Amino acid sequence: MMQKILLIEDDRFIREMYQEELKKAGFLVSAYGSGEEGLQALQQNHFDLVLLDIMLPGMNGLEVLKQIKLNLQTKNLKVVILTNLGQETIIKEGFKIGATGYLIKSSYNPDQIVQEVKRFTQDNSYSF
Amino acid sequence: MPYHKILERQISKFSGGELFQAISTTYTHSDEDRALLERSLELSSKELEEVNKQLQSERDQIEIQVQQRTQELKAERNKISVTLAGIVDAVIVVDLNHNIIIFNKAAEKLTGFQLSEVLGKPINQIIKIFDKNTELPPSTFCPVSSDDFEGIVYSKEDLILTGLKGKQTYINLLASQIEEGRDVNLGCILTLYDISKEKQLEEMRLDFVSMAVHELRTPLTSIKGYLYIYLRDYKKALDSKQNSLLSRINISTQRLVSLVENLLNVTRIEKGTLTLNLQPIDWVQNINEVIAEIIDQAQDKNIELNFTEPTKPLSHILADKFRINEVLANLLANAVNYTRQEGKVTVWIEEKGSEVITHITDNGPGIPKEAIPHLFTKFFRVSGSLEQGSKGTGLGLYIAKSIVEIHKGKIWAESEFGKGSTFSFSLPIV
Repeated sequence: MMQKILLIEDDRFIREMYQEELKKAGFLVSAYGSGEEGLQALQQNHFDLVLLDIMLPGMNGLEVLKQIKLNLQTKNLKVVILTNLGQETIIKEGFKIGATGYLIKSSYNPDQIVQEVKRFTQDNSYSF
Repeated sequence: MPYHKILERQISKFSGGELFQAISTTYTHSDEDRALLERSLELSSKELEEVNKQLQSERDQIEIQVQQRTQELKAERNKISVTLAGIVDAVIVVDLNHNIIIFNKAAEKLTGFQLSEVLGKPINQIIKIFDKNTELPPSTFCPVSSDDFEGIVYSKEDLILTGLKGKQTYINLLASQIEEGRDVNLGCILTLYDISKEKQLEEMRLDFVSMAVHELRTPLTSIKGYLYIYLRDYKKALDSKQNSLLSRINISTQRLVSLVENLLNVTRIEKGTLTLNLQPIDWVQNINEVIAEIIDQAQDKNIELNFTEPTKPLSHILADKFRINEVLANLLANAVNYTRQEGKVTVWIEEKGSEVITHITDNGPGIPKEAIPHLFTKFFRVSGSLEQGSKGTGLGLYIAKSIVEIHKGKIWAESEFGKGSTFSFSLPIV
């Protein structure tokens, strides 16, 4: 069965790049540009993994993560934070709230991103 | 001789007038003496008068001089107190028992206390000095020594001063003593320089750079990502001209990425937030990985880039892989950038004691002797012939040094002008 991924990223080019690459790798991807839209999608559909950008307009990524972890239906969902370099404090904060891992967008090429996503979805014991 | 004989003789002398003669002569002499005496007395008193006059005049002069000196002292004191009041640095002087005896206007402003509130009070009742979170005792920041040393006895930057109602200010502190301190009950002179404005500006600058860098990174991630996909999917379909154009776009993108990351690294180094994730690393394999990333740039300039692998297996080193690769990539990129077409860059390593030393040798134009000590300073660029055709911000080596040093390693450069350079850094083995 195909794994379903929810991608929340506000930059359209990056969002569509990751969406396209992940689709090519065999994932089903729903992509949204804001946290509010993403949370709405979570109520309607089941996902295996969330890729969550932190710097979002409106509700920021850490707040979205909190909402996911507070909701009984989604609290066990794996959430991987999409960050940039130099956001160590945000990463720490994310782990505290319950993130499974993080990906540094500027340090990985698209193939590496896909590889990492595969590891997150396959390996249940994956941790940093 | 019988008495009457003596008497007879005396009487005969008497009658002969000898005695009278003698007496008269004596008196005459005596009169002369008196006259002499009188004259000499007269003279002495004149002299005395003279001397007295002289003394008087000298005394007057001394008095004038004393007045002058007093005036000068007063002027000196006023000069010092006006100077003290006028300077922007806070000056606090304590006696041998650490009680405050001088407290200038700037000190009032810095601490929030008035002069009248602090005079004679122990300094530690008025201000507290912290180095990060540790409070310094007066014996440290305001030492009073028993010898007659003159000069600076303590100096420290970036301290925190707590004054009235806990008012906190960032300061640089300088403590001095004078040679005569023990004789005049002067223990220590403190000069405190308020750096809070500079700190604030510095913070604003760092925040601005940090924000700009974050804004730059999003489009850069897109450019990098799409370029990667394009090259991955269409490289084979492109002719050599198209490939060469794209390869240059790619190189420039990499350069822009490292520039942006360098700016970010500098803000981290200066904020003290650059942290390491240390792990054992197979250094030989790691060097090969970094070389693979830069080989495009070397080939574009027809530069021969070699790695002389050690013959014996090397101990693993303890480092943050991501950070130390930045150092390596930076030194390699420099070597490639500053070496002429068809030049040669060689990486070689050696294990020495508890360290692994990595050398990057090029046969480029070399570095002028006078520039070598400044190479690792922020924003330093070698001027002259090296400037031409080189691109850089003067941040790379500064960052490299900072990263190597937080790994407890060392970085240095050796160069002979006209013959090439070798950059080396050491890292501790596991």
